[in-house]
Amino acid sequence: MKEESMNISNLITQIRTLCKETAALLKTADSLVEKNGWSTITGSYTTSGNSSSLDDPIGWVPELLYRYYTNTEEYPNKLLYVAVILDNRYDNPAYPTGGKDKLEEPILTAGYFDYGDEKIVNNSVWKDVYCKGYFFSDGLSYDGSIVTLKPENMKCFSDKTTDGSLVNRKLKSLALPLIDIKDTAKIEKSVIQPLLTDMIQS
Amino acid sequence: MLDALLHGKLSQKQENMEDILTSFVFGMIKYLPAKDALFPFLAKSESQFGNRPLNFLLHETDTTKVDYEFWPRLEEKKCKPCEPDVLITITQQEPKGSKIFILVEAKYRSEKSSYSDESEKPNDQLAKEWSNLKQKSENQNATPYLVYLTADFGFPIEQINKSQQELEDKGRSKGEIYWLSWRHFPSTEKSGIVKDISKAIHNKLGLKLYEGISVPSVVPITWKFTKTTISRPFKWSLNPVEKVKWSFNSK
Repeated sequence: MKEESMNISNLITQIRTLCKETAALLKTADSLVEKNGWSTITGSYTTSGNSSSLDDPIGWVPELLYRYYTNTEEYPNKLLYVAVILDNRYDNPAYPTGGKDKLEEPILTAGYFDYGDEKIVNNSVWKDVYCKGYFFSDGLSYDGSIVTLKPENMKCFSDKTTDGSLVNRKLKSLALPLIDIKDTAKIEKSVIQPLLTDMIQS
Repeated sequence: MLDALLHGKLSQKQENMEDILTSFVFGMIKYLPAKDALFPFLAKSESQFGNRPLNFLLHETDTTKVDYEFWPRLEEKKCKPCEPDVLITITQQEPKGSKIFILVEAKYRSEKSSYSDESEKPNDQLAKEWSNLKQKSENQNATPYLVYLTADFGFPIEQINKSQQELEDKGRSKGEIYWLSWRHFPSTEKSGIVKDISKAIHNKLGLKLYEGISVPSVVPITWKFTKTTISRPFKWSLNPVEKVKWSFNSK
């Protein structure tokens, strides 16, 4: 086999390894939130918005992988999510705001939407967009601190709806470089616990 | 079996069969000193809240006697019969001298084989197995533990809670039911059977816990497709078609 062929084979193997490891990360997140009464609303689905068209090869490989959770008994008005964002594949100028910066590195982002007095209706969740909340915001660093964001002020969200359903909703979110998420303990201590604690306190 | 799995000689269907996996793992480690593989593995069994009640196994000595019974049929009084995967009997030496039953119900890609029903006796697979194990332990003055061995990344809350619920609903006390994952099988750098089993479980079957994202060294691809110009137009040679000689008659 020629060296170039081997390089392509290695690249494909590496992509598949990345997919398997990301799946392990998200399944671990599933089990950690489940202990606290949350369950996924998306079954085993973890990605959407990808292309199978010959005219859109950029869209063949996902840019993000997500899990959305609800806890209808304790928090009927909260939508929790954990997601891995690998890149900004279309260089979409809607995120980061203004398109001035590119996503510099793959991140793990997580957060929760507070629907106020409303209860969450599962099919109203835009699976491919909601988990980009942190990503849509300018000037945020990937240091794991929780920030409060207003979806109604975020261009990409407000473009998605004309019925004002995002008005008065609140998003609290964090992000960390993907390579810093080394094991189950890190997911629990730096991602899940801080968000659930924040939810209780707020 | 181990070599067949490591060298990819088993079909996908065979690799997915939990009985084969159970037989392969426990069938191998029964020939090893329990402190090398069995005890470190079972010690990772945990409760919903992360407690590890079998941690004491790590302190057992070589004189502890361990017996394995594969797919035993249990049919105690006031219990529906069942056939769990492995019954491990641990007999501690004097002065402790106590007997411990650890019943392992192993799953790989499937869930429980039976669920709660309206009958008087527990019917859910784990509830049924726990009822039998408890009765058997009382008869033989042993301490019972039921280990639900799965491929999950975390405690399968719903599955175990449903079993516990059926026990409670049918007037029985909650079971000592703990969870263990194939992913917990101990890794070792020491060569030998444990390393080979570990390789088969973690690498071949991909049953490992999340250990971070491996950072690949990407080699730049140096080739690319180039656009070629077709030098002459396509020439289609078609077979001649006979003229149609029939026609519809008017009625």
